[in-house]
Amino acid sequence: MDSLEEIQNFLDVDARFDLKTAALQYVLGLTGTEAGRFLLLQRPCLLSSLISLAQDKSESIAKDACLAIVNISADEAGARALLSNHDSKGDGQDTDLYYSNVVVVMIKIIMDPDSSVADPGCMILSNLTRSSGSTERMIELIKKCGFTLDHIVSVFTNQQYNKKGATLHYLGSVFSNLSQSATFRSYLLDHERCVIQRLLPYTEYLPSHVRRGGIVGTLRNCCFDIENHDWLLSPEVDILPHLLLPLAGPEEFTDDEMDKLPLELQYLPEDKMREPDPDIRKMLLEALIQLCAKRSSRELIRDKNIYLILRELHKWETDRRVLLACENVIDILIRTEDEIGEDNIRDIDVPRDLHEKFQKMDEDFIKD
Amino acid sequence: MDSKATNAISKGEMCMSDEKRRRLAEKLDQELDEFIGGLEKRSSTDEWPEDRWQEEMEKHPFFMTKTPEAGEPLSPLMEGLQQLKYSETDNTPQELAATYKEDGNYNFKIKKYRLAIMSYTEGLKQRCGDSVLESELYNNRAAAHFFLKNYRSCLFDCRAALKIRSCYPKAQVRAAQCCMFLQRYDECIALCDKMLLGSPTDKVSLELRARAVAGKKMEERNIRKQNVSERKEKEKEQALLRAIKERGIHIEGTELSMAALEPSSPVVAQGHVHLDGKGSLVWPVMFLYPEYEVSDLVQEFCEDDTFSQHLTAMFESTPDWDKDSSYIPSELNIYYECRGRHTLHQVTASGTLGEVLARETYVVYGGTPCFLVTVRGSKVEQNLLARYS
Repeated sequence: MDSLEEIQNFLDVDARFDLKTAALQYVLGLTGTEAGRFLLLQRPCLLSSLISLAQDKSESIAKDACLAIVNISADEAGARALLSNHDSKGDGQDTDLYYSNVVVVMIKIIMDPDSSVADPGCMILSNLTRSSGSTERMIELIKKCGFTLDHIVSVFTNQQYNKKGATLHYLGSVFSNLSQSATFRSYLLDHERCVIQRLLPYTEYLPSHVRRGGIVGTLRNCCFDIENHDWLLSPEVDILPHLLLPLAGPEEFTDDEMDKLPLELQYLPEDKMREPDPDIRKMLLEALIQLCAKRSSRELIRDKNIYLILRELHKWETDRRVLLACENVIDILIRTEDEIGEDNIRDIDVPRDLHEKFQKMDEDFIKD
Repeated sequence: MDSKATNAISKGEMCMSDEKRRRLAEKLDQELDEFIGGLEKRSSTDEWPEDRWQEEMEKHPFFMTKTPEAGEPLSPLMEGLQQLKYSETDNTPQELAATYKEDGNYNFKIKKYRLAIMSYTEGLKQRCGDSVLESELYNNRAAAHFFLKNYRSCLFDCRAALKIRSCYPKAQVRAAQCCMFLQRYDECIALCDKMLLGSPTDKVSLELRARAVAGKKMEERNIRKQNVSERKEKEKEQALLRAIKERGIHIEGTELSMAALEPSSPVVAQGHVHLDGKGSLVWPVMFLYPEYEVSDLVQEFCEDDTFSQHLTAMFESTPDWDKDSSYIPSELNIYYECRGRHTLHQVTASGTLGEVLARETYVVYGGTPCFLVTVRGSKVEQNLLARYS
């Protein structure tokens, strides 16, 4: 009997504590290497056991199990295997004391204020939601657990939700991944509710770049739907200042210039820092570019003197990819509407050869 | 005739004359009167005096048309009912609390908010232990405070109600509204979010939340603006003090500070020393004329200006006090005194203010450099010089 098969026996919730611990440690070690993970994926029962152990009453067991699942789910293959893992009883109904579906398990863990493994739970969910194929199913599963998306969002926005100190920052990444789905986006952008407005302040959340990045990614994806642009830019949501605050520095403007800026961007203190992560800066600029698609939006953005913020950013920026993104936005803003000509620049068809030429120019710029 | 005689005889024995009969009747009447008069008088306190029956109706709890004012003496019937209602021996704390709540609600309906508050307070004092009732008392009292615009008290009571019953929509909404009035934006937003969790599309909460967010943005921006202007002010002061220090100018007192540069004379109030656009110091300067005991103030004397420049301007036309018209710029001597050493020093008119201020012997008092001006060779000048030698 090969060692893994032996280990399998000890990975049962009812096994002796010390044996469980030792077996789990071994498995956790395996998840550290690609070869090890490959081995584990050959055994779906093992995956089931891990999922059950994630709900173990012992905090140390649950933690090790979760960490193992985090590692496995980080690969696409591992994520797929976990998602397709069903309890061998087969009827798909979770009648067991321990739920078998990994998504359901993780959601319950995350929503449990007393769970000590809520953070690994978020990480696992984030890994699992990465591939766009699974997002719709994910949303169904959340509902199946008896939670609404409102619950998840309010847990995310509640600093003191988890009593064991979990920060739930990775829920931000979960939202970012889920926002690839039109269903999720339509929930976030519901005009009759207040969902996206609650997430906007997190673009400036200093303590965690994971949370910040997650929310910025979510917002960027939301900016792809052109029909929502007017609403997003309106005072009801007012997304613009939240996209620009991380890009703004301590620069001073004259009183006249200042007056046109959105309130949140006025009179920033001299110790104002810009977003330190270049990937996040790039995403913010990408969101801005999307918002520049329509003429009315462009005019609004120009009126608010947003160009000033980007000008100062451009002087300060050193990352070539971010510089390119910044220039792309500035280019649109400094041109007049006559020059642009088109109302919706996304409607323009770029001929293939030109498209390739532009891409090469961009790459060269970055490599410089 | 015998019958007549017998009649007469029987009559005679018992017969009275009419006169006698009359006198007897009178006597009996009198005795009756005295008898009745002798009976004890019983006052009819239980009956309403006929002429004042409307008054008495008004006092009766069943028939009164308006509530008795506080302090008005109550009719005994009213008092009796009151005692029955409010007596602690006849009622449990819970009943009393409920009674006070009803009182409060009644007063609330007729817009007597202060009376309502008093009633609710009495109800709460009962500490009846019924949490639903107590939360209602707090909530209702909060409502009364709200109408009196006592937003802080209202908020306290709302919070108390919510502490007992955390899901109490009326109290939540009112608390959120108070927060808006009190400009407690974060608290308002938190309350709205809580309400939205239960009913995500509730328009009242959405609107309140939006207003709170807007209010917060404005408040934060105003604070930032204030900070920026304060910082700039400080920087200006630092630059000024640095400039003075660099030039080695002596200011009164031991420490170089903005306070030491405060002009002491109210006339000078506008002309505080400052740096001009080119980085030169500009001072308010006082010229004293001992001969006539008058003075001139030059509001802005740049350190690079010469004394001649200003004297020429000051004496372009002869001042009223210059009776002999002797104060011609070329004929004037300028001095300053060094208080520490009790010496007098002369200043060349063609020199600049800056050069003089930098002198070891010059000290600026009251943020205003001072100079004495006399006509060359005059008696006044001689007296002045004599004082210091």
